[in-house]
Amino acid sequence: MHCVTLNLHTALPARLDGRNLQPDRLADMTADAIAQLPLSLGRRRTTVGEWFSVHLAAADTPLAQLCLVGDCRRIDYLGHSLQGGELVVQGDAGDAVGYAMRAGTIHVRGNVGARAGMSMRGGLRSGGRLWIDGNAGDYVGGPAPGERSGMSGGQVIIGGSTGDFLGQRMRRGTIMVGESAGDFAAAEMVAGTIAIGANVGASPALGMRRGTLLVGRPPRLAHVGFTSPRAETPSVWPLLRASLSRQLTRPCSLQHRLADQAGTMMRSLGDLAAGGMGEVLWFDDASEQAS
Amino acid sequence: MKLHGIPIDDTFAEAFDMKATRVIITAADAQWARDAAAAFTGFGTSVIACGIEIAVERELTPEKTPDGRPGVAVLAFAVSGKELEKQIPRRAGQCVLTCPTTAMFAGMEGEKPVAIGKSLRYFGDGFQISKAIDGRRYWRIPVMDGEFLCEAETARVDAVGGGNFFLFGSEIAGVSAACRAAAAAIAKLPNVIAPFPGGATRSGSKVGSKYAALFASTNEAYCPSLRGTVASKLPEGANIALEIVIDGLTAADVSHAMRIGITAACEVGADGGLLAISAGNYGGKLGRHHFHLHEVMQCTV
Repeated sequence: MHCVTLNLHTALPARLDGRNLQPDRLADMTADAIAQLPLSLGRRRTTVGEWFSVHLAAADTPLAQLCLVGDCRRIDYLGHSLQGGELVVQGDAGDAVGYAMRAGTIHVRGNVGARAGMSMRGGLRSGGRLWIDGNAGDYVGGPAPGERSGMSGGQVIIGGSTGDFLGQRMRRGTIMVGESAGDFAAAEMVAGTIAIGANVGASPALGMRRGTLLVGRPPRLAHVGFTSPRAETPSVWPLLRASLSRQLTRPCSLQHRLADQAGTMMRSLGDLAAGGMGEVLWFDDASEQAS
Repeated sequence: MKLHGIPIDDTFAEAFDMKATRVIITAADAQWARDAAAAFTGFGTSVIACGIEIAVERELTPEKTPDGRPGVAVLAFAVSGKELEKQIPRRAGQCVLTCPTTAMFAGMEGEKPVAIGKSLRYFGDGFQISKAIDGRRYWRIPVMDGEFLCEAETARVDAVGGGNFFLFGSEIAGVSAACRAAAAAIAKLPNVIAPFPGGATRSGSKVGSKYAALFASTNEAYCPSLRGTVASKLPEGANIALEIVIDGLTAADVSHAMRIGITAACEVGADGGLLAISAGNYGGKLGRHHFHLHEVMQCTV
């Protein structure tokens, strides 16, 4: 088994579909075979070798490893349906990173586009881990087009901020956002846990059914559909806090919030307008009030 | 063979295969945790009529519990997994769920589950919340002091029950002191419990009875009031026999507990009228585990 490194040597003139770049598939292939793998560039059929130089090294672990080096902002669907192994992107990546991944690890050491972690799958004790050091676009952990449910397993950890519709229709798993999220976070959430270190945009938890949305600063909850906030620390908070803290290895607002726990924990249930009983939790510092 | 001058009979204790589980009960303070554990482990001295042998294994400091609150670890033993699966959620529902501020967690890993929160969640009447954290499922049941947090399942494992040793003495005070010293020493050990009241029983039993409805009855060979009427196994001068019964997760745990208990008893009992140490068995025909006292003690005359 090899550790495979693909260096992008030519700027991409269009968006590249990277779903064939699977660590466990490439790990046992020769460099020539990897170079011949098909990749779609728009509607044009190309090969790996047209865009990447292939380097193989002996792996020091039994885990299949694939590393992409270069500007991968125009490469979409990296880690699509990943079932094992480790995929590392040394820089930015495009849209739909980790789409439908079931196991393994993806680490993007930069920013990603929209729909990261879309339809991730997994069970109570299984699922993959998607780690993004920078920012992510809209629809993280949401449903794929045409699907009812969003993410249903695994973990997404984002060091920076996300766009809108974070965790839409999520039904299991955990999303951690080190900084802020945009509008409509946890929209129609079914279950699972979303933790955001700083602010969340407009209309959070709209249509929420169940699950937990934790926000570092008071959110702008709708007055209709959510119960009056109460100072209340859920019974599960010590376990949840310890679990979230263990996952965050880099400094961020979420890590600081979990560590210092400044302020009173507030809790509101909703979205009652959707028959929901999800919970929204936040830390209510004395100097900041929910509007 | 003697220890501190106390003869150790050349005999063996006969013990049985059992199924065991462990749960952890936490609460806002140690007192509530103890109260819950006391209720949870009530009526749990013997599988003969209680169906389960259950007792506190040890108290836990906040650093040692899943939610960082004071707690208690409880071990439970039954003859079958099915009995454990029946007893544990029933006791949890009536004795832990009811106790203020408590939470309940799995205390054991394994392939075979014993439901706790998975069974109790229905008390929430639809208002209960499930939360999965790190591959474990918890149920949050709304109650009048907030939420009862209960892990969905614990696990059960194969275990050993019925390790034992007898303490013979001339009068109750001396034997009681020796017994209590043994029980206190055993109580400090992990993976074992001595489920009888104070760790000891005075009604050691034999298999069978003249009454068809009973499958256990008084062990007349050790009853001082019947000496002269039955074949007695009491040593000369013994007017009291108490038995300490030990259940443990492994045979090694039981053996170790027997050694620690016998040693503690002999240390205290030498001047107090403790006359001898022995053990109970059924000829080796019923139980798979035989704990020969001399091997257990590994001591010299």
